[in-house]
Amino acid sequence: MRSEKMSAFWHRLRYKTVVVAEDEKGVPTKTIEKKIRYTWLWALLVLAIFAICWIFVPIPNKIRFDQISTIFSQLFTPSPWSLKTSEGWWNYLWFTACRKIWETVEMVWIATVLGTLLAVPFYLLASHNVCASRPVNVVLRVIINIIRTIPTFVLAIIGAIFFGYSSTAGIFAMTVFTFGIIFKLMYEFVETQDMNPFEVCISNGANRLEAYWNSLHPGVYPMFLSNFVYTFEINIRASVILGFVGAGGIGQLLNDATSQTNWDKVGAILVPLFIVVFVLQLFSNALRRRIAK
Amino acid sequence: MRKQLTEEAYKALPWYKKPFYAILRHFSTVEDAYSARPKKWIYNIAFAAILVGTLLWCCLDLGTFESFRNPNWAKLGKMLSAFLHPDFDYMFGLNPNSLFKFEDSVVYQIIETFAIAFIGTAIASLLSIPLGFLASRAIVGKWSIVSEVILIIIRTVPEILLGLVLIQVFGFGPFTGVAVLSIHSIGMIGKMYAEQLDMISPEPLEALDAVGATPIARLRLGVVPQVAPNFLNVILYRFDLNIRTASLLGLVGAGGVGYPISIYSQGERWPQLASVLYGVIFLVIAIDLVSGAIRKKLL
Repeated sequence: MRSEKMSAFWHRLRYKTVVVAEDEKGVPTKTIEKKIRYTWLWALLVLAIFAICWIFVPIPNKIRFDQISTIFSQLFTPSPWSLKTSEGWWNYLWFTACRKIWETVEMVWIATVLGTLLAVPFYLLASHNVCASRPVNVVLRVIINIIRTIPTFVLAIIGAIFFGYSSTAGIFAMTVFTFGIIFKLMYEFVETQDMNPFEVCISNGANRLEAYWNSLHPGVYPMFLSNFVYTFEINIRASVILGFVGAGGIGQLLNDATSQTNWDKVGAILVPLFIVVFVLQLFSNALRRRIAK
Repeated sequence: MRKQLTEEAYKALPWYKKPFYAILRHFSTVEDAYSARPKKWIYNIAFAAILVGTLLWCCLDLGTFESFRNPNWAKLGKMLSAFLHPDFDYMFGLNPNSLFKFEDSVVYQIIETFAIAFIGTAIASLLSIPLGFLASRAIVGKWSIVSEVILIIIRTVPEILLGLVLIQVFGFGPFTGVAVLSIHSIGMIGKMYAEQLDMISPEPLEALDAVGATPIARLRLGVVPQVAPNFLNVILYRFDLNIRTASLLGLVGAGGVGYPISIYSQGERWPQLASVLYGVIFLVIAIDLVSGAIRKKLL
């Protein structure tokens, strides 16, 4: 009885009756129910949250836009108390910054390859068309989705506690991150695949793994490569952050330079970093477009 | 590519040239055809060897194996035990006897992080509407490349660098985080807007043209209904990411939950660190669930 009342209440909230046709006296002969749209209410709610959020974000009383131009002018002029000459600036760029960036690329390579390979068995077990057992799918998805929520720099801190403050901590963090991303992207993709070839293989006597390898894998493989390149690109950008918690890579250099406000060093780090990130982005876009074709 | 030869010409070749030529012939039996299948395993083994080789070389170059020699079990155990006993005074900041006021508590910092991400995403999603329109090839034509390049440049700057620069402008505090997010998110949101605008179907626009609609009406009735759900989807996706970004911007002092994390992890105060981490994980999961529910309703 009570639930019926409640449902009638909700029903009245969601639908309104609209008169479609009426006779000469204005008495409705036909009415239909129409869904009420609450777009303006949602908009109001978002606006209210937006306004409330400003309570927690105090507006600074001094905004110094002139700092941007001073920083940019300091980036490429060697200051007398850190790099001294422009020759020193170039030396720093070549021998310190580029060396560190190469280390970062190595870290990202190890982490991306390891994380991707680790994810392969798990995404196969988590996609319901390859592994038919429902509990296995659900348990794996829940566990890995919880792991995925831990931010990368938190993983880096845990890694740094265990392995010491070195690049291994960063590799650990990025491996887990890559694992989570590849897992999610791939099991969702595998589930959208056409299952007819798979069933043909099964009915010809293959087990499920063989059937996957011969029927689904050729269609999944391009997406796998594309996701690999995508995560590599993301990881390169994410690796800048890892240095700030002491897990190696280019961020460490940046952190040291900015904490001593040596903006000329920052400039010398930024130039190669930008080139690497930009080239990688172009490269990965082109590669992914080719793979998608 | 391997060139194809007749069988006689193939047999006349020296042995070292043979792998690069295939024989052009008809197979008499299935077994015959099967035995002549391409030798893929050679490529596979070579690929695996290159992969393992580069991995090993990188590991040796970075000294990764050294750090496995004496892992710090004691410290890890201390930290994990702290995860079982987080600092509840610090988490809620309600105990009047403790050092932590509500303004320093995890709950306040979590709300602050949420506020930074929300305002940043909202401002960025408004700012990227013009840039997205200008970057869509279907609307602007060949000049869309200008806006596309601007968006790529914005995307290339790592958010933490933007934070380092803007800290000098706005000073320490959450406002810097808002500024960073609202600039940095434009790159991705604008690109995705442009992609959605490229994909709209022209039929409604043609119909509106045929009845003589004004440009405003064309936009309002032909474009907006098609792209609005997708735009909202993009904004929600970016909001998910921004929650994570906002929680790490504190590492450079741009407000939010990252600053206490860096302080406590450097100071090795595990109970406090554990309570902050619980807060972050709770926030991320909650936002994931909410945005997932909204997205399901939208589509």
